[in-house]
Amino acid sequence: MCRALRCGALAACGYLAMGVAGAEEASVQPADFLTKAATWTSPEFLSAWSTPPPSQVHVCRLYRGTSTLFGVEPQAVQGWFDDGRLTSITIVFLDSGAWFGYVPDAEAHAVAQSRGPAFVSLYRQVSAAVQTGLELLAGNKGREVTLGMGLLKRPVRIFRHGDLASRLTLDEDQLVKLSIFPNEETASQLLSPGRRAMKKDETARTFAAESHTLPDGDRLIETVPVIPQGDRAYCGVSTLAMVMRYLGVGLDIEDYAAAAGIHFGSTVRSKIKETYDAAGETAETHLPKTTKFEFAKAKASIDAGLPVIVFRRWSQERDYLHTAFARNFVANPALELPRPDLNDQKLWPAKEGFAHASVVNGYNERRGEVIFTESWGERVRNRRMRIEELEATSYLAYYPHF
Amino acid sequence: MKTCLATCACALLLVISAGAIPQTFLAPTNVFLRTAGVNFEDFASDPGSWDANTGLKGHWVAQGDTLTLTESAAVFGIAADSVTARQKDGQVESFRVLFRAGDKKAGKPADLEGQLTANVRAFTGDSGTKLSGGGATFKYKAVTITLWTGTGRDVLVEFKRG
Repeated sequence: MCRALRCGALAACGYLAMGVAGAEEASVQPADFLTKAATWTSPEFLSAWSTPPPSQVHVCRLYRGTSTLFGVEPQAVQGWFDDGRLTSITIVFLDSGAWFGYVPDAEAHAVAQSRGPAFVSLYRQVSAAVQTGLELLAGNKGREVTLGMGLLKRPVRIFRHGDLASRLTLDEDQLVKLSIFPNEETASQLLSPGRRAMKKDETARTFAAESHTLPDGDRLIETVPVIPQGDRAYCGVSTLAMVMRYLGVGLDIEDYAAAAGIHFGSTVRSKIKETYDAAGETAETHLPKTTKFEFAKAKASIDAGLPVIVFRRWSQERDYLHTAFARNFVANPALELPRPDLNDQKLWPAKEGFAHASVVNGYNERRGEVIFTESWGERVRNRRMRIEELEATSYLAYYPHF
Repeated sequence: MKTCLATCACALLLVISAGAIPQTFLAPTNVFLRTAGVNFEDFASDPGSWDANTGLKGHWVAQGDTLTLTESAAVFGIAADSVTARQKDGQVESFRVLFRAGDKKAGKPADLEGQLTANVRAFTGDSGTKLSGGGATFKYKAVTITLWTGTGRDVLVEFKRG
């Protein structure tokens, strides 16, 4: 397939200074997927997205083609698919976490001093280019609406272009992001149409139906979407994004990072707990927390179809054990994790260890295990850990409920 | 388009912060994984991938019959201090990975032998056979993995055919 840049009608009119050269197998005109709903169902366009994980309903997939939109090369283009149907596209033009990469606390000040001005300058260029391009595409300046609660509350701009609509998020010196939706109503709301249509009782029943028991005794929620955090200091906000997407909140990792103040790649002075509180409000759920993982509470939450987020101590060597065990367990379900005796406890990450966040989306009480998923990709879905280990190594846990 | 936001194939490390805020960055201590595209223990457990005709993945320097890996490698999830291959007539016979005990600041677990034993068990799915002189052996695919504890609580791990 030709990779040559093809110009659409709008581009020819000078409205759209951008082009998309798709993957080897696909090449779609940008004007089409930004303006024509029919493009979203075309086999050519759909073939340009990463392969979906098997047996997943609500899936985040990456656009594999190269693209330049409004003269800017996006950092990432993600598509959200429900049962194989594309429901929204998120284009991250500029995210400070991705631009800076991980910045250790000790280097935060120096990095902000040395590289911050270049990012601020880039933010101005990118935000202006995207906003101007979008205004030209829509033929107007869009409509400002305020979305979210608490720290997540911020103004966005809603545009309509052709059959489709978009939400432009500009977070100063932090984020330039465009989300495309089938219509303005969806673009102007954070809760998914499905969630908005449900009454409270119905919502609880719907989510409870997502939790089921497998023949081996696993009690599992299998439909929590995995959103890879990439090389960013984002595991705390990525796990939040995963659970919130599952609950029907249409925000992305970058939105939570911006709200939390994870600035220039550093989490120094960020407000992660307040962001969790805001996410709970936005999702219209209660999001109580405990200062360590409590299995009884987690069990009740998972039985209700609501995954738990755990902040825990982490070590590379212990993580290796969980990774290797998960790999072998698939082939041999008779395998068991080490008994949580004194010898094993010595190997658990201690208080001075690294900090990490995981989504607990299941348990097997007979085996004494929790089942958890990381924000690193599908390959780390449904890992296992002894309940005792998670209780001993956690320092915060969130249990959503309606 | 940049794909750095895609799934990370590399091992991930996390780091503590004053506020204990979960965060992530790429591990700098496993260059072998990046250059070879496979974890060292997976590579070493597959003799078909290191026979005379295949060549060794990664970068090695030869001194007599001993080859030494010149790049960093995390083996069984722990940073190795040295990785060597012993060869005879141009054919690798075994790999030896040395882990030196160190304080936690050096990134080593407090119980190096215990952690390595647990991780080798998890990797192989074999609970292992204790050796009379100390250490243990584990069977995995076409290799035997032997783990010894040396002086100063250093640990040596050997991969050998059979």
